[in-house]
Amino acid sequence: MGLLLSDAKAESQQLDHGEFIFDQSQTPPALPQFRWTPIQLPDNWDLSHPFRGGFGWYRFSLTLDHSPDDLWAIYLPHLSVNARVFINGQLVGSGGSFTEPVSHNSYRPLFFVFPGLLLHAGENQIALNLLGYAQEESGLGTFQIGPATALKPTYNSLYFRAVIVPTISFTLLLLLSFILFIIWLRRRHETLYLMFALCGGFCTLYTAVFFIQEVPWLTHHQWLWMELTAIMCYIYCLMLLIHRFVKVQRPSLEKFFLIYTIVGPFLILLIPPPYLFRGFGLLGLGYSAISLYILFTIYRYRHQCLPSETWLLFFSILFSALTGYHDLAYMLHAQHEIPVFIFYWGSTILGIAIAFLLLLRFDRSLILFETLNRDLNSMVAEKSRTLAQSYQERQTLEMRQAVFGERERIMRDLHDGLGGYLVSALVQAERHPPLLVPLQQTLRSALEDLRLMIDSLDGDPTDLATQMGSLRERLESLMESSGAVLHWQVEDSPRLPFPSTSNTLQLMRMVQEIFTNIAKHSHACHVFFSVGAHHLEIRDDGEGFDTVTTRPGRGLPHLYRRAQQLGITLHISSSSLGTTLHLTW
Amino acid sequence: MIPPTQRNSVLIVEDEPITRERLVEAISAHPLLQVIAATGSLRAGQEAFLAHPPRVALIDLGLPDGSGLDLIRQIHDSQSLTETLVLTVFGDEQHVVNALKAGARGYLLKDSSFTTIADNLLMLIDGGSPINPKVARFLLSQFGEWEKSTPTTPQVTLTEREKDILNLITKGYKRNEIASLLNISNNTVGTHIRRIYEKLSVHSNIEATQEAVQLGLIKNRR
Repeated sequence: MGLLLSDAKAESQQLDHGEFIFDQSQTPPALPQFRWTPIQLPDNWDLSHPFRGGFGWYRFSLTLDHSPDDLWAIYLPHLSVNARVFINGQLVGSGGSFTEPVSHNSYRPLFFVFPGLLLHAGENQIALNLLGYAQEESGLGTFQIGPATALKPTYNSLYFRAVIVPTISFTLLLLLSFILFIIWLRRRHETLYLMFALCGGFCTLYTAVFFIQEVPWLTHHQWLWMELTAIMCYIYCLMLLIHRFVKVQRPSLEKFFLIYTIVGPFLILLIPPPYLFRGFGLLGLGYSAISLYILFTIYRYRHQCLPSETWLLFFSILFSALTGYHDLAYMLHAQHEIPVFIFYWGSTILGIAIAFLLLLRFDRSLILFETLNRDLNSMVAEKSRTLAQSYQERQTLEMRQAVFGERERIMRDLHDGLGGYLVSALVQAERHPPLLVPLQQTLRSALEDLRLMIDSLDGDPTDLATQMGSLRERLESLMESSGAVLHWQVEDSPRLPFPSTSNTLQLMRMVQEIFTNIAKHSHACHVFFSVGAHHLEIRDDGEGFDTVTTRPGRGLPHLYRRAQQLGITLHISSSSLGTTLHLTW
Repeated sequence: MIPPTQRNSVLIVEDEPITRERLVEAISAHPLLQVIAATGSLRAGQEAFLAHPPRVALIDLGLPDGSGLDLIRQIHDSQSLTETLVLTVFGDEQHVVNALKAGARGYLLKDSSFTTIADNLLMLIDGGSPINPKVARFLLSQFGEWEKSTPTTPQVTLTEREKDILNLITKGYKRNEIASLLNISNNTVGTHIRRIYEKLSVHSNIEATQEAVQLGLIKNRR
């Protein structure tokens, strides 16, 4: 039953053979040998002492050849739910409170350091007082005793895995749940975020057991009930979340499991405490079915999400489900060893994975929103531009209409007023031929010039062909009066370098002036008029003049000046055979 | 002297007495023309037209009691044989185009020589049309607009030859010059121009009918 350590400096030792007794005493009981039962660790009370719980005492003997002079430690990796250790009747460490609210050390290793001097040469008694509950996998796993320095690394390693990691993941999950809950508050229609916040909340509730040893207001069974109910609520919310994630609607299934999740735990409250843990185990079978259903649903509706999302979700749920099956198997069928429940690993990893996916989704929708916003902004800018442009066009149009209206009014006035008087005056002058011929000519010139002005104002200033065409009638009568024949050729519509109403009028006046000069001075029989896109030529077969010495009235300088103003070139050549005026641009 | 019954009747509506007298003088001087009425107001013009629809009506637009356009429209809608020419001082687009749209066949400058006045009237009476660059340009743009807005039918669209002729008229070419440029006879040019006017009339009628139908529908709905 004991173990002899020949070398105190040796490696730590595992004690697995000892004796056990249920006893309420606060110090190692000095009971007769026959009342102690020999045991071998691990010792699971569900198997060795079915339906028994309370305070139990283990004792082990450790034989040393001399008392160690350094620090020693006892390292208890697995036990349930609380323990304290006595070395040779001396208390060296306790896991916390042994009365309600009881300290829970089911998931955390205990490590008590004591002076090696407490151990003496020869046989030493190691006594462990354990608090456990009936049918809840209570008992003691194998433990080690030895120099503290030798045991510490192993303890640290387990402590890191069993306490630090769950604490970090708990904090992370709580934070993510909080963030997504806030997002949901801002975007109430996105129930996915709420579902996650609920999942995360339930998950953290049962993960808390890893680092919270005791809850002041809760008894052991209340806390256990709450912990196991939280797991069930977590799985139920996970189902709702997956339904929304893959965009599937199953209202009746959701309702059924909601009733199952509410009624089940309350029914369990009605049964005696020793059956609570196993009762939850049986309820858990329903949730194993849900987990399988969830995996199937994700697989079936995998096309509703991005492939990366689907597979990340599928495998993290599969992993989580496997950890759950592992724990469930222990809950329903006790083994000798004290079980290490691992579902929290699966659920926290799954929680973080889902939070990651949701944040990615949120990020995607944010990017989409930004893109849409950018598109919208550019659309608005485009529309504003178009609007500004059409406003400007409208303004131009209105201005043009105003100009047109004004022009119309002037034309009407000219027509009914000045024009009418000119025609009347002309008619009256016609009636007294010999006397008023000069007046008649002046009046006709005035009328002709007015017509020229009006023609230039009419319609499109670039449509010079029609303007020229209209001019022909007048030129024709001028030529007829001087006895010349007009030969007309308009090949193409002339295109002035700067087409405008005033430039058109200038050109028409030039043409009229040239023809007036021909009629007055040339004595020509034939006049040839030809126009192309970039030239205009007027040629006659008259007497001609010397372009250097002759100064025929004020006509030529006028013509040159007008040509210069129009930005066109005027070339005059004359001989006794006739004169040619050539305009090019 | 040709008996008055064989002469072609002309109605003159012009408010300026001196100009009106000159026109009467010019027209009366021609053996084939006879002025049946010369009035100075729209109302008098309308009465004169109703009393004796003339062969040709010369109408000024700016009349003291209204626009000559109304009379042109009235004559056009009356389906009578009367052809109208608008009297204008300048031959400006505003006057000419509005008058053509109302149904006039062309314009006459108020200070035209006696010969020009008579020639234009006789050409109109002979079934020709006193076309000139401005009228040709109006016709081209008017038919262009119709082609764009309505499904085209040969009845109301211009042929390429008709467009060529109108284009040459806008450039100031005379009928005989157009005939030689296009290698066709003078008469053919005249036929083409008459056909253009017929199309204009057909289209104007279609347009008028459509307007009436639309008005009727609107009334029915109400």
